[in-house]
Amino acid sequence: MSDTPVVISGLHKAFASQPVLTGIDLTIANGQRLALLGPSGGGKTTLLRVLSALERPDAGTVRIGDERLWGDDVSAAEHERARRLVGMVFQQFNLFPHLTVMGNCILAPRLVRGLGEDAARAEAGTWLDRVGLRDKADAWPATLSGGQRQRVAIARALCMRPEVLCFDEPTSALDPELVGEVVTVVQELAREISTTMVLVTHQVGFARAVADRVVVLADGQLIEDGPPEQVFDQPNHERTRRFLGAITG
Amino acid sequence: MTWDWSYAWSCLPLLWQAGLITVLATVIGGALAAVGGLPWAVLLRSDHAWVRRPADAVLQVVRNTPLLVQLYLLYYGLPHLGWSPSPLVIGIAGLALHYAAYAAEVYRAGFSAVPAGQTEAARVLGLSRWQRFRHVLVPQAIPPVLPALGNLVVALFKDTPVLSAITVIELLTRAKLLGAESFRYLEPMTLVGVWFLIASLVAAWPLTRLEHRLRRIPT
Ligand SMILES: Nc1ncnc2c1ncn2[C@@H]1O[C@H](COP(=O)(O)OP(=O)(O)OP(=O)(O)O)[C@@H](O)[C@H]1O
Ligand SMILES: [Mg+2]
Repeated sequence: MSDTPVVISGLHKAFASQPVLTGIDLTIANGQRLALLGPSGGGKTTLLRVLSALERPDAGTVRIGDERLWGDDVSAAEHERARRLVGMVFQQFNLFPHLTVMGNCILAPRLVRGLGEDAARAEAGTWLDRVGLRDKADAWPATLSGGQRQRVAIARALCMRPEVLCFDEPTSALDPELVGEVVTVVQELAREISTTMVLVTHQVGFARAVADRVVVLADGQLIEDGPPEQVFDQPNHERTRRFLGAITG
Repeated sequence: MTWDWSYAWSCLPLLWQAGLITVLATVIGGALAAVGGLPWAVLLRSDHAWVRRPADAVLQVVRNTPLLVQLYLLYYGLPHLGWSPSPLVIGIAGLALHYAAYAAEVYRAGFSAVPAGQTEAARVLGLSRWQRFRHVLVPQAIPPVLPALGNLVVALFKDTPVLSAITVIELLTRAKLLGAESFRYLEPMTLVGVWFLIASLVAAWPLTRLEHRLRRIPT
């Protein structure tokens, strides 16, 4: 594994000729906890979706570990290998409602990693432990609270042992009283595991608690890049100050 | 006109035979339609217009022309193509084709009801196209449309008398023939009614069981 698990360069993406990402260059170091902030509609979700291969960029290259995900003449096989290295936690959890918590966690390990039932269950058990939900292994997603669902989604993603784990506003679909448990779990994981993390959030407190690097994406460009204290306390751009003022009220 | 038990009794063997034809056409035709509708629906959802368009065009043609016309076309057309199956086989094929189009539409609705986030989550987890279909889409899209599929089979069942147009004598046609021979319609028609009722009840049982099983999963 290279020590720069994500290298993005010259990334462009437009929807119906409306530019969303206009030249993104970003290198993320191994084990980094990167928080990605920015005004609504700025392209944060689009960037994560390109990174997790849900969206094809118009131009630019993305490398994950030693494999190229996007770029000219990237073979389907290489793209596929790169894709495997990226996990995603969605705003709306996207748990599979027809499978139990355990079923959600072992589906991909069994089908994609080729693990046997017992091995997959054992590994899922340790991740469910980590997010504090081992006792919910046999529960159906519909019977869980939003916070619990999101924690299951995090465990499910980790069961695939991604090199890079993306979180797209993991707390913004939650009732306010359930935000804390998800923030705590992400914070603990950030301390305990070496997986590189990319966290999109609107909560400055969440970003401060988890991230060691903050970038701000506005109007399709990265306009800030630095440690949390610097970006939050002495941003380079007036645009950032206004945006931070708006989200911190 | 009073009920004549001995006449009713004498009708039974022929009605029984014709009833088997009806059951055969319903079960085989219904199964083929239910099975064939699924890949058809997959074609309808293809990313490629050159796959989707023809699949949709055939669907529209089959759905918007009468079953009777389709049966005649198969009955008189297939021999020209060098294939002359029995009228019953043609009848079952016609019913299957006609109802597969409706089933495809039902499946398509079932698939569209599965949120895009489900496929996306499965994609990011690395599931292949087939694995997403088999393990994520089908288990969520099919259970909700089972009642609609059941209704299609019932409709197919009630359409079986159309087969008489291509000389297949199923239950209702046999009853009419019996009635016409003896000028007594009460007994054969009553027996047919009872037979349809029993058939529906017998068919409903596994369906309710299935629905009951699926309802265990809360949503
Ligand atoms: N599939 C799509 N088709 C068309 N336009 C899209 C699509 N996805 C995103 N967009 C547009 O791209 C722009 C960026 O969207 P994106 O969701 O990436 O922003 P975001 O920074 O995540 O915003 P938010 O903070 O509201 O989540 C928006 O103007 C959005 O309307
Ligand atoms: Mg977003």
